[in-house]
Amino acid sequence: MTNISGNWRINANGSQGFLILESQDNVSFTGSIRLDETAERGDAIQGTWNDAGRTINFNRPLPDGSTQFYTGFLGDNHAENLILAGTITDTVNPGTFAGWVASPLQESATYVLSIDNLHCNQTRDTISLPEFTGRDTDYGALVTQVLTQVGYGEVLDQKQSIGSVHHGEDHALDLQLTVRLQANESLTFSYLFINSGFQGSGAQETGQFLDKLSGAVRDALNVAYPAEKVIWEALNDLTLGLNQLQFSGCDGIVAGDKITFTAAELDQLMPVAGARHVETREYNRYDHQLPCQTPDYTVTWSFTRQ
Amino acid sequence: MTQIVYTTGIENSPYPILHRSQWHINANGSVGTLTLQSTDNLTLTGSVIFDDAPREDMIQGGWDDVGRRIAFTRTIPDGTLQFFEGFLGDIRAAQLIFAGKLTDSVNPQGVSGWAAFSPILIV
Repeated sequence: MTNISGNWRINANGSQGFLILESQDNVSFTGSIRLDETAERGDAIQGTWNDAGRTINFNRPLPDGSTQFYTGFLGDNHAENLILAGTITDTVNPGTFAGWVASPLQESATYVLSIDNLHCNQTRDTISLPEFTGRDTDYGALVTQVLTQVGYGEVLDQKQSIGSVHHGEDHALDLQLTVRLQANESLTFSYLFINSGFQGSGAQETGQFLDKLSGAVRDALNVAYPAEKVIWEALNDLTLGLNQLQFSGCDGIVAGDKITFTAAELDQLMPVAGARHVETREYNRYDHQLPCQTPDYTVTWSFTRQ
Repeated sequence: MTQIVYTTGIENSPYPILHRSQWHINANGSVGTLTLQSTDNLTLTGSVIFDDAPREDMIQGGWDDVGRRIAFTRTIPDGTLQFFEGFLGDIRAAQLIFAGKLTDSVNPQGVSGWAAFSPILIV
């Protein structure tokens, strides 16, 4: 028997939120639904659960007087991936249907993902005055997205203007995002660092430039690229997304990646609050044009479990 | 109109032209990857691979854009057919979902839920 009472996450027609079901007899129930798009209110619901038929039905009256009707079916091949999924219709357009899915709310862990350090072993630039050595001007962006049991979460991003970078230098960064993960969810993050001679004269121009950079990194979350290609080269081949970043001279990518962790993997790496996982990756395979140089950078990033 | 597949790739390049989309699917609690292919946004073919049955099963069906309805049949090696019917959820255009019910040719009265999620695919 499936106990229907409890707290659920729901995705109703693409809008995510929470569903609360309360039942004394596991047949009839009341509860509420609160969706992100209308988070200022929770709507009362009432309905029935047919355990033998694996079917749930409930009504959601809306403030405008209309009523939504939810019908769903159990999916329980694997208890850890249990879902209710089905259709929504309403009194306004009774012949029109949308999809919905719900999954039991589980304990979650919170992680802070941080890009901590950018180290330059070799600039793209060959020589600049007055240093008489290579000088890159770097910008970075970090983007992350969680795949939950009821759909993809919002894309979160951070970006930073790093400034002048020379051989051998370390640059502490302030790119941090906080994510919550339930069991059986996964997290994908992408980061990109570029050298650009972009000469923005004001905060607004720099902000627009960083927005374009962040947009390109968002694209990378979903790019499916050939294994032999570095992700950013493949992405640029396909979308030309980086071209709008005003590359010229020795401008170009100096470091970038796309990485996925499951909740189980993160839990194994950091089983308790306060635990930290640190990785450093080197990037030294990006193309360059003469007389520029092949850039060689390392990026150190970490997860800290809260 | 909702395009359930995306045209990606570049002619004469390592990235062939494809008309497809990939979805994370949960069908009756089994998770996997659903690939849809269509050249007219009406009829579709594709495949599904589940983590607990790591083989590629072919699917074929159709997409009704007006009705927001997808329906497809999955052919399983033992000859069983599974029938998937789902409806679109599109309040967030970059995070589409399908959700609905599935039945099969062995136990047509048994109904289970399924859902699939897709971000906008780049390639």
